[in-house]
Amino acid sequence: MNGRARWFGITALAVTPAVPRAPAQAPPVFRASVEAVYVDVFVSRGGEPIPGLHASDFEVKDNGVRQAAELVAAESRPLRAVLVFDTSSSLTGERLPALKAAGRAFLNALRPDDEAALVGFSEEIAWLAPPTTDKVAVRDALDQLEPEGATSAFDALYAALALSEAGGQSLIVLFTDGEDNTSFLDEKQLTTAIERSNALVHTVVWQQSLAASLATAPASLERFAPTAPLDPDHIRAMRHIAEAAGGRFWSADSPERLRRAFADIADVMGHRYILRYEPQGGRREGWHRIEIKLRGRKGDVQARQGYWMAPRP
Amino acid sequence: MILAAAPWLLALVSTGAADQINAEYRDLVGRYARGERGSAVAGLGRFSDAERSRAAQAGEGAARAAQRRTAVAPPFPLRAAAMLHVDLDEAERPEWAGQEQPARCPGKQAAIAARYAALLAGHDETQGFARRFFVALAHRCQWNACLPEAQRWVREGLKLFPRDAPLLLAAGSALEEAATLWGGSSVQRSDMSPVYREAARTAAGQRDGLYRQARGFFEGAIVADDGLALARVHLGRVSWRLGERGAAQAALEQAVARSTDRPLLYLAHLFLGRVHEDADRLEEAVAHYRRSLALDPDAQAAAVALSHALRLTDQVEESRAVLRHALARAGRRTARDGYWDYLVANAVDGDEMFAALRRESLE
Repeated sequence: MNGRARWFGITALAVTPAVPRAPAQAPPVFRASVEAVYVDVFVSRGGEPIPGLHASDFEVKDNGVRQAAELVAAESRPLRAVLVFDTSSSLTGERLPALKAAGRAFLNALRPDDEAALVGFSEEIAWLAPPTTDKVAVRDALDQLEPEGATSAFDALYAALALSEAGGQSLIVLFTDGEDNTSFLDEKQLTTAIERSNALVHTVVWQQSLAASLATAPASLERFAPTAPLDPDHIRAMRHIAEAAGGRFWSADSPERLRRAFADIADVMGHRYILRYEPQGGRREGWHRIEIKLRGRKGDVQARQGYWMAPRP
Repeated sequence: MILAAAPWLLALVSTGAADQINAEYRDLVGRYARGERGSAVAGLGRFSDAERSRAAQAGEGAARAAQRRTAVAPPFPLRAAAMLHVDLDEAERPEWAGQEQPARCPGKQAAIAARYAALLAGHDETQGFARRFFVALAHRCQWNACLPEAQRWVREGLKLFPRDAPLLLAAGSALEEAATLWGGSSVQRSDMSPVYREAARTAAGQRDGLYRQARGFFEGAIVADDGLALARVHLGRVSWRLGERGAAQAALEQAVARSTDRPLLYLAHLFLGRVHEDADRLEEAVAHYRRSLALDPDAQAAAVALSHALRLTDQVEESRAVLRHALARAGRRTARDGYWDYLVANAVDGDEMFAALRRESLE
């Protein structure tokens, strides 16, 4: 219909993309033949992580059936960290340098065996650095990011989910500073994809401060203490997506807060527990709801809400 | 360009109203009509805002007075006057600020130009110019993400040309974009306080109201021009947005049946795929996504859609292969993915339309 962009150039990402090769291992959607389920669990109280827990401190249910779970040492499961970064044209001023700095700090916090990768997106999505233990290569790709184009955050996250699967565990950190305006997929489709993935997803959104938000909110709402915030739909979607994938939603409105959000994600990953269990009580295909509670202790437990059992091939 | 003989355009009788027009302004319009565009725009640029308004007001008054009398010429070439103000408006609008949705909206000078265009609408010889002027102005506004302004000029145009298909399409398109990129809070959740839930419900209703208005304009465009397949694509898409899958499917299938335009078919199949996917007809969804991708093998939107649908049907390896190919082509495409620009696809030609109108304004 046309070959002209409205508020962006024809080549959205200047860096030549590097698409990861097909992984040798099986995709992480749990198949009926797969024996074990791995779940990342974050436990905190008053915002502080609770260390030193044992398997016996957790009560795990799979579709309502209690499971015998064991703890797996996090060190034994190297991470594949995929940074999915918004490079749209709104990332001007302090935002892009702040994002690069936060990304570099995050890469520095990874362990030598951990892999890292970089996906950049505007309206177009590109694998800018394939998964590698060579963090310098990823840092180099990060340094080349330039702002241009619109925002396809949902599609980019889907691509990262679908292509980072390699049997191991993926941590996906999505950063965006604006409303998705060119994705084909919507929140509902993305949630379905998350349910069929084993990736842990954290979403980081640069958004205006609460004070600025209130300034644009209907005046009649200020008098009421909300039981849940009236987030714009795109913010609520990012929150929901992170929670569905067992991660967290982070908000930043300054370079310092952005840096802290990425540092906190790295810190949280260092304090996570990995529970492993072989599902008892049936391997029926479809959605399996996971419930995890602490036994005899107080604390907030955060983990993915379930997984998808695909039919036998 | 020599104009067709219209008595009121060609007669050389001046009126009293015309005598009140600023002589320099009249001269600038004349220069513009003779093709001295740069100097004419620069000359009008030196007028103060108030001087421009006064000069244009006197010009409009004289033109109206001339219209009321037969065999009386307007005080100066009205098409050139309209284009002079449009060009000044374009020259004076601030440069793009680098944001995704820059506010570069046609302003006061465009409004003056539109008043001249409205005067031209009453005559057979010039109403084509006037009609295309309003379409061009609406397209330019929408292209610059000035959606309220786009709706304003479309409304003004439709007052003069109520059954004009391009204007009706432009009206629907601006409303559809406003609804789709609407950044409010419309999702109601059980953990919300009643006040917030009500606010979200109201907001969702407002957004759907925009879609319903858009649907009405698209239906009107199809009535006005049965062959306007793009209007059927838009009608299908907004019907889907409103949850009317049957109507969406029917409109999109008609678009497919009536068009051979590849970019349009790409969108129609892509949107048909989504209608079927939502109805859990995954095989049909995959088939339409495949057709869409076949029409533009490097398209990312179709690849993402197909990849997702293939995963839902447990065809995981093909799902990843499709996606891998699409991402490998990033940055190497020669044309843009039509889906990225779908919402503004019909508005891309605002500048081209004005260029054609500018040529027509020469005498």
